[in-house]
Amino acid sequence: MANKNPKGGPRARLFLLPFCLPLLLLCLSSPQLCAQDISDSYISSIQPQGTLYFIKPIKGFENKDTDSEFIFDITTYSYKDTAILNFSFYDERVLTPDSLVLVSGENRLAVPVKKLFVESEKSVWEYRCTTVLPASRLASLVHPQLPLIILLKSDKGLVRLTIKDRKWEKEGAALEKIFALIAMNRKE
Amino acid sequence: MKIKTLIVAAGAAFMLSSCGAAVMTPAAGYLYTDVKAPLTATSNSGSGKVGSGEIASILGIVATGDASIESAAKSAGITKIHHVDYHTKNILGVYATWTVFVYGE
Repeated sequence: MANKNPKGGPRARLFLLPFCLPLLLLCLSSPQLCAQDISDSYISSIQPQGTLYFIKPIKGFENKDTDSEFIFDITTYSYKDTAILNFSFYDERVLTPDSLVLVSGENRLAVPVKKLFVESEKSVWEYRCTTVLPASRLASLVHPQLPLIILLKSDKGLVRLTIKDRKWEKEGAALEKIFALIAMNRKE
Repeated sequence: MKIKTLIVAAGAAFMLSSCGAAVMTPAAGYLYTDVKAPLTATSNSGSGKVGSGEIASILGIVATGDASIESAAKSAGITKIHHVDYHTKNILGVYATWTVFVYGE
């Protein structure tokens, strides 16, 4: 008589279901599969003068030679052409950040930076700094097809920070959409 | 037998979600949670700056990060806190994040 329940049959498949389901949910919630859903990339807050937008930290900028990492977030507003860019720069060396240059193709934007604090994290130093720049200029540097390059100037020289093309395509597209949203909400 | 197997599978999924990564939330979904809620508010005026901090948990086995109000405020140079919100996300107890947003001046 044939075995009614061979190994790897329906019972085995049903048993695997609770393990496949989380993987499926993880994949479905992946930003790459959600056609540019920016709702998770920023938050907004009503202010007396208009709306404040906080663009959540963007990771991925690094310099493999100096083993440096750069993570930044942006606060901008619908009622003024100002963006506050706060960033964390991780590096093994002791240095004093001086200024930031954002490069996108032929366009460049150089701004001085102000140190908020310095902390030690494992084997690196975390330099937390802030800078204020024109929001419209910042928006003009964001192109999903043209990866942004960040140059950090310090007393120890220049650090060039780049991001992977594929990662920037996703982040750049989200940023571009957010800036478009802010522009549409801007008070005239 | 099939019903028994289905019940076992559903039970396993339930246990995985409740014993796995868990974060504070006013309303939780066993399969999926994506909730934004308030944490606290003060009488300070002005909320023109925002700082954030995040913690992440994988399967409830490893959890790392810093989502303290102190750390989030410090990251934006905020010395007067206006209010604090949080955003929690949990996918079947496998991966969970809890992000705090501090508003102030």
